[in-house]
Amino acid sequence: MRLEVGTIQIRDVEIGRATALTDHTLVIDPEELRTLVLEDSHFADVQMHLVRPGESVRVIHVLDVVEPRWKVAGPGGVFPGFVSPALTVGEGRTHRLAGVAVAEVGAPVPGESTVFRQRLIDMAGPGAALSPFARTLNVALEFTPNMACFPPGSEQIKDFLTGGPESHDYNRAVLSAGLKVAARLGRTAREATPDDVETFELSPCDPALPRVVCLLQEVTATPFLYGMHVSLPFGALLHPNEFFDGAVVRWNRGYVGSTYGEQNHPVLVELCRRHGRDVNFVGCIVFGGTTVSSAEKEASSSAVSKTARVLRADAALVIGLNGSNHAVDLMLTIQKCERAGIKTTLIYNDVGEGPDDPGFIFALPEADAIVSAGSRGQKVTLPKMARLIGGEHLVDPYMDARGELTVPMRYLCCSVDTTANTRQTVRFE
Amino acid sequence: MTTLRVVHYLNQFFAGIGAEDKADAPPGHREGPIGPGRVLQQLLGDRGEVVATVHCGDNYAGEKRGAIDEIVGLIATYRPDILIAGPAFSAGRYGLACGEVTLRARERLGVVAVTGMHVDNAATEVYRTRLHIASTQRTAVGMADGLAIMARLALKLAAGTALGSPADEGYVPTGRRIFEVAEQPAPLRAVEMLLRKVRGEPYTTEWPVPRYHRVPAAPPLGDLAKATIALVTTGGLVPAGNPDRLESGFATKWLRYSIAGVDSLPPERWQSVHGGFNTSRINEDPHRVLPLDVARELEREGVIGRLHPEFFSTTGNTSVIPTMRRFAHEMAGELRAAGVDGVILTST
Repeated sequence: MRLEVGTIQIRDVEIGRATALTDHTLVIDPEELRTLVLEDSHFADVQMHLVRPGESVRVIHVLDVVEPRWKVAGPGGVFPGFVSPALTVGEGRTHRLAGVAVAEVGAPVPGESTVFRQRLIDMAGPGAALSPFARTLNVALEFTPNMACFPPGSEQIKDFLTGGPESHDYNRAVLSAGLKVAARLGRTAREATPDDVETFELSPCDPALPRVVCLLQEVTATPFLYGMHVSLPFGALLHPNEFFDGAVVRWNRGYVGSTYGEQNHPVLVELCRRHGRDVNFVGCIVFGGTTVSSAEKEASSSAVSKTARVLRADAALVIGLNGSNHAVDLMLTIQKCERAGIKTTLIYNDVGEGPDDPGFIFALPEADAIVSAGSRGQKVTLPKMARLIGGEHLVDPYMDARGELTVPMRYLCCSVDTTANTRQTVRFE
Repeated sequence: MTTLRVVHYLNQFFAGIGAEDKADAPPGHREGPIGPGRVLQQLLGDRGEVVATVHCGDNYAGEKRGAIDEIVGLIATYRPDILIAGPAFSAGRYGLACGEVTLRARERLGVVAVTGMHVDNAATEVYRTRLHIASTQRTAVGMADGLAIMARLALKLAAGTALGSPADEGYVPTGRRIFEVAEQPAPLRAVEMLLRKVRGEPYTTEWPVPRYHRVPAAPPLGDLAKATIALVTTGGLVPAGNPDRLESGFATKWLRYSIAGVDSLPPERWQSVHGGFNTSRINEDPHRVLPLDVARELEREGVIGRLHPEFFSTTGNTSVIPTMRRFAHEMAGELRAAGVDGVILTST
């Protein structure tokens, strides 16, 4: 599978009468985007805000963030299962508008689970230094729900993990709308000449190089693969190019990353670039989801390590999700890989607080090579911003967002997340 | 360069007073170094002078009220800059005395204070987050090495020099977090570490996995028919509408609700707000997370003596370990005070 990713570096985003790419400036017709979004009856309205790096702006109630891309040659299209047919992608040529991000914004709707809802972006100040989306030109879409979608009773939450069915449908509609807009903006680059073209292809290479598999763990809030939202205890084998074409779409919750992060997955990009040089990158296994018993955790970890063995991997680069019972699945997977002779390195976020908290819910001694990708609990104080988008206060717990705000790092959109796109780290004294 | 004043604390054995038969010996002191203190003096060179040795029997230090105050009082009379206690190796009582003397000397006298012991010494777990503890061997075979680490740590701390990593400096990790920005992003560091591991080259984890302390199970209840049993859950069960606003994750509180005279938990009155799993089944029938129905049956049948009239509830989801440890201590303390003999803990 050979994919060329053509990068068009965007220097500015402007509002205009027709959506188009002019040299390195993206011009957006907000009315066109509004019409596109309002095709879906879940929405009463949508407002577009342009937010630029360095501006004194705070965007709260951020949901998913997406990079505009468009498939210019080859099978399928971007965001398969949402925008394009759910066919295997990762071949041909894709253009990306680098430096632009579409951010979905909206306060919780009736019946929505708010436990992992906190996500904000500060475009200036100390928060900006910590968020990748303080460095992008952001097209923030603030959605207004059509309240007819929420009949009386829909505010009753039966399941606090996913929320009520109406809120679930609504949030899926938000995801779809964000992806549609990202694809529409990406389409402006259909005939553009990229500033740079990078080819991703895991072609046959020196058999002496170590065979490396990337294991990407998911928790209960698993991503959408080709539009399907399923638990993956046995793992799904993916080519890295599929990520770059938007086959993996993030459920827009808390600290579990963003679709933008998957499209530009820094670990996968790094492994692809080193393929044939010092590694033989053999593919990715996305695994995880709900495992409610130790038997299911044994089954899951056995299956994932077995797939790594089928791939004849010598080494596994593991991206784990800390902070819940899934740590057991993760550690068992690492143990089983190591026992099968597959060397592992784990990238992990710290969730501990205080010196008598080791930061691990569960650990096994085989996890002896861990890279710390920052702390979710580290407190960050954010000064008042001049402009606030998305509402005035955070929820669960309620916090006034208008002034200075002290929040844990996990509230800062993708400052520490599952893609490890960070230089934040924790050292223990 | 000024020579720092150092007081050395030893137990009765290392101070040459006597063995176990002298473990009740009260605190004493003598000018200059004794026994291992002479090695310490050599290690300090001209940067520190062991001006006195304070000693005490292990039993006296551990059992006698005010013993630590007496010891710290004696240390204070020598106006030291530095206190060095031990090393205690794997000796439990000596380790606890060294830990407490080190802590109190630092807090009360404002001196630099360092101790040393084996990582498996029970006192290590008690004091490691609050003190710099040199990691020593199990026995006095490691005396010179242990003292060398202690002397180096003490001189660095006295000079205000930043310490390196626990592994480099030889101290037991304190668990204190230093938030940093690394030179290289995490993906790059991870690939490099993995390649070193594959090639058989040395690699160092950035984050060592912890050693967990096992909680020993309580002895079985003698006569269940006479026992008072309480129900406790981490399943986020609360009255409908969640009036006390229990969090769905990252819980900061635990709650108590009366079940006095109540035989069942109807779904219109109770709900789970746990945000870590699908709560639909529990919200159909709250007994699935708090088995009050069955517990009442057992009470009526005389299988258990009686059910405690309150249940405790919190949310065990993305929880912070020290917070949960505090909840456990608080809940256990209350249950014990209320005469509860056993708990049915339903987790999720």
